Amino acid sequence: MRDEVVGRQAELESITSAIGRPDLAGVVLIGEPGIGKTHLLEAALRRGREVGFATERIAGTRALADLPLGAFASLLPGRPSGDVGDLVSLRDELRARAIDRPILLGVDDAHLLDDASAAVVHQLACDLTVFVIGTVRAGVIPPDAVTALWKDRLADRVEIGALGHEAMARLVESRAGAVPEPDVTDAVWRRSGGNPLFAVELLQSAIGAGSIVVDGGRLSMVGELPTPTSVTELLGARLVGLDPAERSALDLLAVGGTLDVTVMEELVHPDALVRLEGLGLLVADETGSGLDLRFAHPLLADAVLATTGRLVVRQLRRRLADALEARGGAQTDEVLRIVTLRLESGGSSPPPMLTSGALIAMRRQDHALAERLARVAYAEQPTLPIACLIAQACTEQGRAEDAITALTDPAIDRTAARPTHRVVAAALEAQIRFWSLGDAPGALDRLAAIPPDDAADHQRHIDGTMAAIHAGRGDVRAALALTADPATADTEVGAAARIVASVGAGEPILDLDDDLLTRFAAAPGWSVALSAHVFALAEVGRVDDARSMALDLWEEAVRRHSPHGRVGWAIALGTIELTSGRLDSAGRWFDEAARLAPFTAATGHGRRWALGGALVVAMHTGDRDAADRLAAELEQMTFPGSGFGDLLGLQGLAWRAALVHGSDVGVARLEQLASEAIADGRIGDLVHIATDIARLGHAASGAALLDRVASGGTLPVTGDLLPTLIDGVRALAANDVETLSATADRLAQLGAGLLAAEAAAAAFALAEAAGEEQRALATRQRRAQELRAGVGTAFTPALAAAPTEIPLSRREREIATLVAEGRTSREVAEHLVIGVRTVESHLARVFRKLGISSRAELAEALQLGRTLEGSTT
Amino acid sequence: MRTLHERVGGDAALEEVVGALYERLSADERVQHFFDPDRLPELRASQVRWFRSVLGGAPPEDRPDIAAAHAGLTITDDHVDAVLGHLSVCLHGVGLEPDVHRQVMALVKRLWLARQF
Repeated sequence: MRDEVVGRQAELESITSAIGRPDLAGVVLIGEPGIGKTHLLEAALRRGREVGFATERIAGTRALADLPLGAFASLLPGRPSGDVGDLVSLRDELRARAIDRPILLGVDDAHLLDDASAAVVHQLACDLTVFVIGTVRAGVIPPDAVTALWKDRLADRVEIGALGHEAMARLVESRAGAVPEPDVTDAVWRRSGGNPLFAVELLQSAIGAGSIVVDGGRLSMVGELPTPTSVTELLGARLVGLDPAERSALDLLAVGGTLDVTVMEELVHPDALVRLEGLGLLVADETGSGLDLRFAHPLLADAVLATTGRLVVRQLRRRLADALEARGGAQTDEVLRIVTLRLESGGSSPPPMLTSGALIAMRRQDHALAERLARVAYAEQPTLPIACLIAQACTEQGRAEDAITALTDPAIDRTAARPTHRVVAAALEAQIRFWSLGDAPGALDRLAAIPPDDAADHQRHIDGTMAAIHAGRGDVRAALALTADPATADTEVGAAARIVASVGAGEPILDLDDDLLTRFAAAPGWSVALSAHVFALAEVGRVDDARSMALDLWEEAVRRHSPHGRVGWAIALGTIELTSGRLDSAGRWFDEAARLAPFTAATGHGRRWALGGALVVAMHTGDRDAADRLAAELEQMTFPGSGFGDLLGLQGLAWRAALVHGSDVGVARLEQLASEAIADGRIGDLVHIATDIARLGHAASGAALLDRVASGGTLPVTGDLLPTLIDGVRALAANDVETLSATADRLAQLGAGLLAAEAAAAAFALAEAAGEEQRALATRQRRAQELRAGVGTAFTPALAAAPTEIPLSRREREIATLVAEGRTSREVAEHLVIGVRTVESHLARVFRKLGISSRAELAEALQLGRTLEGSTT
Repeated sequence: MRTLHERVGGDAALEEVVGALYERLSADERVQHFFDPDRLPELRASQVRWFRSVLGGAPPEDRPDIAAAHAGLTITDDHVDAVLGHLSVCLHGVGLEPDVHRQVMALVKRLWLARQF
């Protein structure tokens, strides 16, 4: 298949032009089976190699579609990938092989990729490690990560259609080495429907049967074309007449997907492989460590499987598993393939191999497979560690009840388990009970029930877990008390609890040592502690630092292919952007988190938080439809308590209640939340709630709530943001225009853009109501406009209360515009045929109204006004 | 998500990288003949615009036509290696994270090879 692709010049150019577009990281060829996608893919890779690209090729196969990272098996180093993760080792391997050249990654039959491989392809494209050229069968739904390539506009789609009549003539000529008579081209073209693979197979079979003959350099029809009506059927015809060894080799390949040549040579005679290669049925690709065999065309696998008996398949799987194990596969990640093959063939493997496989499957995010393998191991050996594995796999799939059932199974021999295992199992059960089922008492009871002998050496771990549950449900006093001992706070979960609790208490801990932070970052999945640290930064007013840290961690999570991490950091970033008033950006992050959250149903917590954030954004931008939709889903959810992250959702619901039923109803809800916060000692949360109440027009109620916990007028909060918010609420309640204006400036400095704009708008509205002198009033309005312009799409009651349009008469606007363009008063006067004095006096009024004092400021002031008018209408 | 342009450090960093790059290119015997000293400011500005657009900091239509700029020049693999070597050093000069550095280099190399198809 080394000839040129006929009739596909335009498609090849689409591929090369995509490679030259910096905004793309791939191109996907879509078309029906046999239409020439594989051929085009190979031609593109070949040309790529010629001009200096490194090229790699993987393929989705039916045989490996259920094995996580199965498609990448040949690229994964033959050793356990361990802690660095498969993505990292894959990337290292690819780069090592590319030796500094850019990489084109061919992905044939991408619709058959297993989910983990699809996610890795997406990831490698996103981070520019490779440029992907994929093929996808038309009408088949590929894995989400593949679809995302073009949905996210990372890849172009190129539709591969049927060949035209003229191209068909050239194809026939190139394959037969003779010029076809018109009736030959006609017949082949009609029967194949312009499908090149079909046409070529048809041609070969017709020449073989003598219905088309080569004579004097010309092809003529002398009989009827063969009858097969599908490509698979035609390909099947090529399998007839193979000897048993050859057939067995093809069967093995169909069952095994891609196979290393040494494994194949142990199972079938090497000569058979050589013959199959000669017949154009097999192809060998070089890999890092040797040669991989695959079908010359993916459709051949279908043709082979269609004619292989089920019992033969079972037997082949067993033989394949044995061969893989015989060459040491059980000691590497290949153990997953071995145990899976055995299971599919009705056999089994020893429990240690099954649990190794389950752990690999967990790491590759295939929790269903992990659960299946762990359960087979458990049936033979019902131990506590295996039960924990099952519980984790169930939790990851959003089945917390099943996880609890697994952990509490009476069949487990607990006395045989080590104390450490018993404590870990109890802590796991407690965490699932709380974070997934919202059952705080049950979770705490479980921890309290750990026998003292077991607890002795693990008290810190237990205390930390308990504290995390208290912190999570919002009981910050209890959490802080349990983590007061530095030894407890030094465990990961203890530190997490302490930070979460302290953010709620309004005195965020920021002096975490780097060691601890690094440990959190390296921990798999989403670390509550790190995100709490980011919130702590935002809470003290270091919004830019918080954003930058969260972005780094987000990218780290993306790199590690950690869905938990991505959800966690998307939420953190959404929350930070919300604080800073960048609502569009906040909305995008929350949407991203909500999109990913169903896949990490570990807690349901992430989704609640993401939807809550999105609801607040919708409320702040006046997007009623989105708000209705989000509120409907949130109302269905149970909130285990107004704990870490739940506040946003509850605030969002309160805002919506204010909009739908009137501000009194919304404020009453917020007051309820405030009472709970006070009872729990969550002073930080209280300040945010009081601020919301003030923003909804009930500043006096907000200030009164703050006074309930103030002693001597001050609240126990630290940092810059929270005290500023308190000042703002009190100033609003006291109609203190000056303090409110100063608060606006302070909030702007701290990066809290939306709140700053609202405070400035409120200051202007108050000053206007108080009849402030016109020039001072105009200055306040200008400041409000400036801050308003920084929060684009925001549309909140506080902003709406202050008019932002510039109150210029038509004449004043006309003159101001001309002056802003750089004309002198005399030029304006001549242009409008009025006196210079008239121009000057109009101008003086304009300056006063706009709160400016020079012509130089005019252009900017007018521009600002236009921007605002544009954004609010 | 941040664009590469942002992750590199925006226009300020690009100006710095390109400035340093042309200094090195002008001093390198292998390639200095490509760069007319009288046109350096213009070339630099155009190069910054090219990077800005390629790294996602400006729309594609703002990208200068590289094919036109290279028209009539005989550029060998050695020339390309020399320029890429200097670029890599200059990118390190603005203290990029390794991953960002790698991504920029990978992208530039890919775009160059794409033109050879």
